[in-house]
Parts: sequence; C-alpha cells; structure tokens
Amino acid sequence: MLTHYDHLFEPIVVLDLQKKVVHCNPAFNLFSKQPPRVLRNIEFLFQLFETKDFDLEGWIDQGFLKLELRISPELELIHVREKNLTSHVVIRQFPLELAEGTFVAIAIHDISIEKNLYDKYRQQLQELHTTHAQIVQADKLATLGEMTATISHEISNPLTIAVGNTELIDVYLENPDLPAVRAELVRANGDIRESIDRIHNIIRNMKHFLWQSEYTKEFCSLADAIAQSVELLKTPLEAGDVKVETLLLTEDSVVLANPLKLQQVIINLVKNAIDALVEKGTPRPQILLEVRRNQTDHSLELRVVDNGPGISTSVKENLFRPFTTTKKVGQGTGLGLSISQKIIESHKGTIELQDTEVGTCFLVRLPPIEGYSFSRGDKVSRGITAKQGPRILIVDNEPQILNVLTRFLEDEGHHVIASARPEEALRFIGKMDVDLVLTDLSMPEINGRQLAHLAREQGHQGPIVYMSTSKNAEAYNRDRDKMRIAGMLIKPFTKEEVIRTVKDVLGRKP
Amino acid sequence: MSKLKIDKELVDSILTAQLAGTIDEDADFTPLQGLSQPSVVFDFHGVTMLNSCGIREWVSFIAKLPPATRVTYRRCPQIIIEQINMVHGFFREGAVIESFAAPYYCEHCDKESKVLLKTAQVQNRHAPTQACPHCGEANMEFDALEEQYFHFLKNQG
Repeated sequence: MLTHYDHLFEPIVVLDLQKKVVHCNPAFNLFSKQPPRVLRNIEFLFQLFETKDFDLEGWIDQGFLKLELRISPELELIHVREKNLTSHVVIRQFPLELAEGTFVAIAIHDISIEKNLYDKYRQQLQELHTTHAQIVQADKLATLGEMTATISHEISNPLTIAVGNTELIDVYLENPDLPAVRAELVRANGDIRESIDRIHNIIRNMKHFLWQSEYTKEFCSLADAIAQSVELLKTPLEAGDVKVETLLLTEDSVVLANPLKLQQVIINLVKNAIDALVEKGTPRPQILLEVRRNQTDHSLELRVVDNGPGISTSVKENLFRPFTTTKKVGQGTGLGLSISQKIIESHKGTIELQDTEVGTCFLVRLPPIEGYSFSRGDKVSRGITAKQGPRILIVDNEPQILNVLTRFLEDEGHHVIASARPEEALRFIGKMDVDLVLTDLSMPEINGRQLAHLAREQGHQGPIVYMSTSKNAEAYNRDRDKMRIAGMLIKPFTKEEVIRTVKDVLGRKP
Repeated sequence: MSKLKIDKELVDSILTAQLAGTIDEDADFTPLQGLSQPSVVFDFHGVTMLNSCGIREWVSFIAKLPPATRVTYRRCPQIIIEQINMVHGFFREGAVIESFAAPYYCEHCDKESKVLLKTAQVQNRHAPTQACPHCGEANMEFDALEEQYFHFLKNQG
C-alpha cells in the first residue's frame, strides 16, 4: 500500500508508531537530495532535517498523540546533510490505518519558490515605490525650477519696498525732532514688516509644497486646495497676464484626500494651461477652475478650462504617458500629467481630457466621501469586516472637524464613517446599520435637526447626538424627546468629552 | 538579472549552446531565439540549479524551436535528468540525449561520484558497471533507483 505514494509529486515519508522511517517516496528522494541508499539507513526524520524558530519534532510528537490530520505553519527546513540548503515548507501530518498497522504520514509542501518569488516581488515593489516617489519629487522640483524666475521677481518687489523704507528710516532718524516724524517711521516700519511677511509667505508655500509628508489622507476642501494653488501660481499668472477665475457651483467641496497631492495636480494643470496660453500668445488668456457636484454619482468634479490653442490629436493619444510634453526643451519634464493621473487614481478618482470647441478642458473626478469611507485604508476596511464593533457616522461640513473626530474615535477603536454632506449621510444611514450618528447642527442645505428628522423618518432607530456651539443648546432641548436626540457635544470640545459622550450614549443603547 | 550564462559555438553548421549557472525565473533564452541551424546541441554541464519557473521558461523556449531542428541534450547533470523524467515538455520530442551524469557510490572508499555516461551504455535500464575514480574499486553501486532514473530512455528511439 505504501508504494502507492511513489507516484505522487509531493514528497511523503511514512513513520511507524515508534516514529521510525518506514517508507519514502521518490519525490522525497528528490526533495531531501539524498540517494535511496542513504534514506534506507535513515531511522528518524530528524537525521535529515533541522528547523529554525519552530519545534517541528515536538509538533510531530503531538500528532502521534491525537492521530488526526494536522497542518503546520510555514517553516524553514534546514537540510542537515546538504550544507547551506534550506527549504520553505508547510507540512501535513495524517494517520494511516493499514493492514500492516497504524502509521503516520508526513507530506511536505515545498513553497520555497513561491517564497523567493514573493520576497523578490516585495523588494521590486519597494524599489518601484521609491523610484515613483523620486519622480514625483523631481517633478515638483522641476515645476518650482521653472517658476524660479518669476518667484524671484515676486520676492524682489517686496524686497525693493523694504530696502526703500530702510533708507527712508535712515533719513528720518537724522531728523533731530524724532517725535515729529514718528508717524512716518511707524508707516515705514509697517511697510517693511508687510514686505517681509510677503516674502516669508512665498518661501513657506514653496517649502510646504516641496517637503511636507504626502502619505496621509484627510478631509479637506477642494476649494481651499484651489485657492492655495492659485496663490502659489500668482506670479506666473501675473507675468503671463492670465486671468484666473474660480467658480464654485457647490457649497460642499470636501473630499478625503491628501491636500498637498491635490494641490500638485491643480498646479500641474494650471501651469500647463499658463504655458500653453503664453507660448501661443493667446489674446485675453484666461483659465477657469470650476467645481461642481455630479448629481448622478455624487462625485466631485473639477474642470480646468483654458481658452488656449488646445491639444493636437496626436498628442492627445499619449497625453498621460510619462515624458509626453509639447513644451520647449528644458521647460517641462513631461511627467506632470502622468503623475497627476497616478495621484488622482490613488484617490480612486479619474482625470481626463474633455472635448471642447476652444482651448483645453481637463476634468478631474473625485469620488464622494461615502465611497472613500470604505476604502480609505486597510485599517478601516479590515476593521469593518473583521470586527463587528459600533459604527459611528460623523456629519459635518467642516473638514477640520471631520478630521479631528475621525482621529479621536479611530484611536479608540471605533469604525468611523464621515460625511460632509447630510444628503450623502442619509443615503448611508439607509444603506447600512449605523450605531451612532454625530451631526453638526449648522450646515447648508440640510441642517442637523432636519437630518435627524429625515433619519427618523427613514426608520433609523439608533442614537443621534448633536454637535454645535452652546448658543444652539435650545435646539437640543426641543428635540431631545421629540426626536430622541441622545446628547449634545458643545463646540469646542476635547477628546475626553467626545469619548465620554460616545461611550455614554452607546452604553445606553438597548 | 539572469544568472544563466549561455555560450554559443558554431562548427560545421552544428550550433552548440553551453548553459551554465541557474535556470530560474530570470533565465533569459533570447540569445538562443531565432536559431536557424539544422542541428543544435544543448550542453547542460554547467547548470547548477533550476526551479519550476526556470523550467517553464525552458519548456516555452524549446517548444518554439523550428520543428525541423535536430536537438541534442549533452552532459545533462542529475538535476536535468530528474526534470526530464518528471516534467512534460522539458525534453523535446524527437530529441536525443547524448550523455548524462549518473550517480554512483563506492562502498569501499565511501565516496559518491557522478559519472558521465553515454546513453548507449545503458541497456534495459540497468546502470553499467563503473570503477571508482577515487580508489579504483571495480564495481561501484548505482546511487539512485534505476527504474526511475532511466525513465527518460523510453523517449529515446
């Protein structure tokens, strides 16, 4: 019977109840790299192998006590008779009831190749990540390098004002009647301070753009990211006499994103538009940044539109490929759009070129936060599927509040779903069980009280807690019984207050 | 980076490719692609290791050789013979194994030897008698299961 194993690919060794080797199949010969002559003389398995960090002998001994199928963890097997040779294996142990008696079979699943390939894959992936990070950084440096000439111009203006005022101060100080020129001195000093502040802001923005860590996502306002990007591009915009207009067609532009990465995408798109407009000498050059909420899928859309020469069909085909550029040599890396695409894709969004009659229009779509909540990180998604703890929905149109509360509650091990839009929050309440709703009271379109009312109407039975300043405490008093409002967090609140309130409210839940 | 070295030599329209090193997932057989010689000899003497990914690369490469090409396997180490015996496609149909290493053991001096045998020396899957290269003992023991080790011979015309 034991010879049946001789036809299998898997190495198998059979032991009797005294743990002595009674049979090895040919696959075991190959695995152990020992000729049959040697194996015939092997009495115990551990004359061939040793293990590191795992007591295989003890593990096999346990199998003899219970005589049942057992599978070992992944382990490293050292071939004692083959110097420096190790195999990564998983071992299966199972009893054999044969006419000759009871035996225990050891089947070896050799996963050395998979293990080596996996290690190699991880290493190459790490190298790719490093290279990608270097390319992103290089692109930012290149962007700033291109902007250096205009930035130095921007700095030289306040510097000239500051220098001029110091000269004026020297003149005033020569006046023997200092009190008489005090007002002029104060004004000159104020001008100097203002000029230095302007220079400081420019440098701070540059440093922020270049060096701040980029790996964390947070709730942030797309409108703010646009404003900061336009501020950083103020000089090239002015130099090219390009008019820029921001059109916010939604009051809610909150997304879960890395604000600096968003800024990098916006800067890339606007900078490309400026370069195209200036290079072709477009009359009355202008750029429109339009933000709107898609009413069908609730994604947030950013359109960057210019009235420039547009993009030729041949370039369009490869637009998002690295090193595609229409700029003169030395003026662009050709990486901007490729990197922008990667950034937007890492936010589960899309970026595309839209057809226009005049100029160019890029459309960036970012998914609604609701979608993000389940995909924002392993920590959250793993938590939601693995642990069935309380789910807390936070509704607030202020991204900073969403960030702070998310951090507070996730630190305590809660599953947090955040939304800046009551309409979205209601959809979320309808779709899945939410154990607690924390809602701001003052929000545009649908306020917190209306949200609570609508949530109750759609059958939500769980506790709802209001968040607002103390002047709105009356709303809580009115709704407490009528809409079963479980509590109110008074802004500004501390972490301890939030945790205490949540614990108290969830503890009360039947 | 490939750890397989391939040296080619062309003599009288017979191309000999000497393979040395490791045949693994990085093995690159492109230097041997597009061979137009009517006869190709693969000399495996220098091959020290191969894994299943490398075997896959080899099988894929050998299957693409022109059907008319005469293929010879020369000086196959034990690990190559073991794969030929186990993996369908490793040995190209119609090819010839000219010579291979066979494991022997000398009871007299307790030493193992790999002896290069010509295929014709093996009759009825019995290992030929070999003298020990270390002590001169006339009759070493064949150090594998003959039936299994010589399984590849059934493919030899």
